[in-house]
Amino acid sequence: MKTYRITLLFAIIVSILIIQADKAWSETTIDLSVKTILASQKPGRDDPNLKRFKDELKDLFRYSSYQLLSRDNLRLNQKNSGTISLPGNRSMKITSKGISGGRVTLQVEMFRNNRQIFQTVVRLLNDSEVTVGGPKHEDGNLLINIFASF
Amino acid sequence: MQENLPHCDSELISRYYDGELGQVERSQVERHILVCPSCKQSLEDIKEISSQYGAHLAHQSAGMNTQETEKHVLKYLRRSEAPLWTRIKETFLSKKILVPATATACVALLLISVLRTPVADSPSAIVTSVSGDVSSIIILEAPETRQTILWFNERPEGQSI
Repeated sequence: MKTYRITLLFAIIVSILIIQADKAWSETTIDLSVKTILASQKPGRDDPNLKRFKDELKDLFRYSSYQLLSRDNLRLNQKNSGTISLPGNRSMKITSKGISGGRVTLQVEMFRNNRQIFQTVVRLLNDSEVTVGGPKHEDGNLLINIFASF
Repeated sequence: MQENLPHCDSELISRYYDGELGQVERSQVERHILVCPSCKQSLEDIKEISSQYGAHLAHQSAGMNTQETEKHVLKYLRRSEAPLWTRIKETFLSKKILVPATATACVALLLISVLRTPVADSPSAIVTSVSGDVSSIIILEAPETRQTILWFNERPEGQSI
């Protein structure tokens, strides 16, 4: 009976500590690597650094080339946002909404001429990526690949 | 006997039964009992009570592991004489601490796994909400890596809703 009580007490204390630690962990920084890629049918633009990305998407899209236009790194704190410039008077604002259950919640907003044209909230795994694509640019479409690490 | 003992003495009878009397007193009591029915009855009562108490005690202690009890007592006595470091070590390695500690570690592991590990084989991103001034939105998933892809078709400029 005494052992049972001690066990229960230990378990309660440890649970509180873990929950507090998880709360503290959710306030850590999130490193984002944002790649702006132009996907098109035009030959000769294929970036060898994007081979893995191309292989991953080959069953979904019919583009023949993927060209890396820019790469930006953002370091976000809890409920903090960062903005990157995109081609065609566009920009993307990414806001961190916290970490829970092993995923970071990010609000991704795309603007064109300072007007919001698209927004989404995604819960992204650690060391994982999400790609937002579609906007037309030159003779192809833009793909914005966001890799999060926290 | 009554000429030897001034009066009946129940305490003396009790001490006689317990074997606490000297030779002279013992002989006096024995002689007295032969002639005094009241003291004889007292002695019989003491014998009966003692016998019943002994039987009850034997019954109660039948399930007792005296060897184990002795072992624990000796261990406790030796422990109290042991150096402080040995006592600390023994305390932390005892079942009293080890069992709760193990159980707590299990709870901790379970909690950590629940809090930290996302569901296995889940997509890279879970889309909670999506909206915009767009003509269509498609959510895709790369077949092998399970990377989430959000694809939208932008409205041409000047055609916003």
